[in-house]
Amino acid sequence: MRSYRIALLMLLSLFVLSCKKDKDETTPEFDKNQLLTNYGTNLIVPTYERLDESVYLLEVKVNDFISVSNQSNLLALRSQFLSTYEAWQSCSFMHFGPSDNYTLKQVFNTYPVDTSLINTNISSGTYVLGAASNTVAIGLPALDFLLFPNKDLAIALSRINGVNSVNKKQYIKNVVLQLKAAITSTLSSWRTGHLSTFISSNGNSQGSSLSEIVNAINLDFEKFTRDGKIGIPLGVRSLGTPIPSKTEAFYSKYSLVLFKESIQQLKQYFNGESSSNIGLDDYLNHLNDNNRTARLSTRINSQFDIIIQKANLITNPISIAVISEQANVQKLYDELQKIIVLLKVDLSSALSILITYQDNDGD
Amino acid sequence: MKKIIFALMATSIMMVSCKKDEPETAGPSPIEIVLPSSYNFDNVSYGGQTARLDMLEAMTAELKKANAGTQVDSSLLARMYSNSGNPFGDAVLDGSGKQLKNKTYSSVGAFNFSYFEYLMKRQGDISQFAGNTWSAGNAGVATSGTKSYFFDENGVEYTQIIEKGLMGAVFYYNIAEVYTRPGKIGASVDNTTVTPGEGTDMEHHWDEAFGYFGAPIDFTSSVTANARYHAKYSQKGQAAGLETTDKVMNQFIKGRYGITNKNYNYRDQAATQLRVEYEKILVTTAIHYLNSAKSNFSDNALRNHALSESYAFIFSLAYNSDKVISNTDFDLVKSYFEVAAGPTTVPSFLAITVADINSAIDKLSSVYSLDAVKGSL
Repeated sequence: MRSYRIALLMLLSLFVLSCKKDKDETTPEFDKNQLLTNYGTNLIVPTYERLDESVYLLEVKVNDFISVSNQSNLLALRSQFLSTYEAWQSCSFMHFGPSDNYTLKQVFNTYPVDTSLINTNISSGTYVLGAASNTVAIGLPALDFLLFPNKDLAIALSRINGVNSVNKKQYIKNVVLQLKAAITSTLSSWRTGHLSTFISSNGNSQGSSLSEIVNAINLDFEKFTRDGKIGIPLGVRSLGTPIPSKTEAFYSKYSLVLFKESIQQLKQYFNGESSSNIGLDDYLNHLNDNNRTARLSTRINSQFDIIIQKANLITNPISIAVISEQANVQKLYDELQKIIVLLKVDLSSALSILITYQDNDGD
Repeated sequence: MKKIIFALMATSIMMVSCKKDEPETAGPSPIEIVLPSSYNFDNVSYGGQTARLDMLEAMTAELKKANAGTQVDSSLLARMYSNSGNPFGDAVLDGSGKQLKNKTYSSVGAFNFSYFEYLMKRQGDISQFAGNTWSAGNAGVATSGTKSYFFDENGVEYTQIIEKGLMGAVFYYNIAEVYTRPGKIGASVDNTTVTPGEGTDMEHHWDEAFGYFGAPIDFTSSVTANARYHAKYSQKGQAAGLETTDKVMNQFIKGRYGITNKNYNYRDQAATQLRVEYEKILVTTAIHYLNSAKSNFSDNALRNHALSESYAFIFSLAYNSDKVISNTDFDLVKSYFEVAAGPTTVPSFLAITVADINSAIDKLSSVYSLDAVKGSL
């Protein structure tokens, strides 16, 4: 009888054990819902709202300039253009979901532009800005070209008021209207449903919101920040020969400001800076990353700071600096390379996110 | 004794509570048949299909020479297509007696063999400009990073139209219209006389359908090595959570099992369901490339390449007379990628807009009930 009882007890304990397996074995789960709520509600949507507001003001300034084409209106238009370009920077690394659907990044910031195509469009007066053949004749880079034919305000004004001025101003307006349509659609998509989809998609798998956040940061940083803003002008894709004309905001010479802005905004985004402040850094800290002397979140933040320090050593716009301060730009580029390892390898593996944006198509 | 009863009760409670964690769907009932997990049957043979898959690979390699700036030999392509005059330099293929051309869809109503011959000829002609850089209106090579593609003046990559198009007009057409239809697996087809190595006629026909899929016999979502053509592309839908790979594979297995065991309900269910699932490979891949075209909209090389891929997967839908999409919707989706050229239309990607691409995606995803996953494909 006794051995039966023992056997039963053993059986019982077996069941208890097997039941336990289905429960959590680790520390309490990180509240990803809070993280995604913060990113969606306090960071992404407000960022698009700022861009929307900025583009609205841009349209106002364009209309003012078209009705009275004088220096003060051109100055106001230029200044609004530059604030819009700054507001754009964080949208660049939030490129997924509705933004991807309306190809916000391609519409806003494809550079360098094809200036002869822009001029052909202007002189013919017939064009579809959304057509595939015009992707290099639109967006903020097209405005950069059209509003800054010369740094000097008086000279620039006389150029804009010169040949084809009516068509040219109409083109400026059409470019702005295209920007407006793209940001309006994106923002309205977020407001009318995507925000809740975004918050509820709280896994780690391909297509989950966290995966989209991390993939978008990496893709943008690698292709558009490291390569686009710095590497390509520096010549890393052209055997060391700098190509200044491929710099962002080449005509307004605003490239260095935009670069720093983009790094600062990305750092804030990484840390989830807002009223609730729950960011990727908190998620990393939660995952108990103590096997190194410094936490991964600390190392990423320090590397952002180093990048800003290196950028502060540069005194000229990047298009000029790649020639006159090449060593400083190279040092900056090297620091950008280092953060890519932290973001693409360490961050993604710590969060169990698969980097999916490489083209693994093979043909 | 009471204690023992108590312990037994406790145990049963545990068992009940444990059971809750298991999936609630019922396991196989006693009469339900458990299908094999792979396409591992006796007397499976599809050497002719494998040869045609290999031939298309050789043709694609010739077509892609234009990407590297070399003119393509269109007469060689034509001979490869009809396997005449030992075009492959490979004794097995040259001597196989098989060819792609006489298995290509040949009627009106969809692109047929003469369309592909025309494209091969034209690829040979215009690839004399393969040394030029592509621009809108001028054939040439466009490059993005390490990738280079040769396009015609409208941004169309004939390599993709021909390769993916023949996957449709030969592989898919023969699966959907020939080998899963009564003429090949119906009551009049012999399913008793076993030819060693080839099975019965009916078994062999089904195996030939499987051969066109491009999958290893143990292909699953997790065993993907050596998958090519549509088998490879089935992984796009699989990755988006649609189980496309597993569903297509299961229908192939179910149909062959049904034929071999003379379970004709299984055969007929599998034939119908296979066409449905296979069609999803084409649609999910088309949407995948449309998404890619959007993501790379400002990149001539990547955008035109992706649009060429998606256009070919879209027009391939026509090779199945039971296709889910209506002719009106099919023509509409196709029209986003075409412009008028005299009495006919030609593919052209110069004037396409993101709105066009979104309209195509939305139409396909609504027709095929893919709205929930269209963004992750």
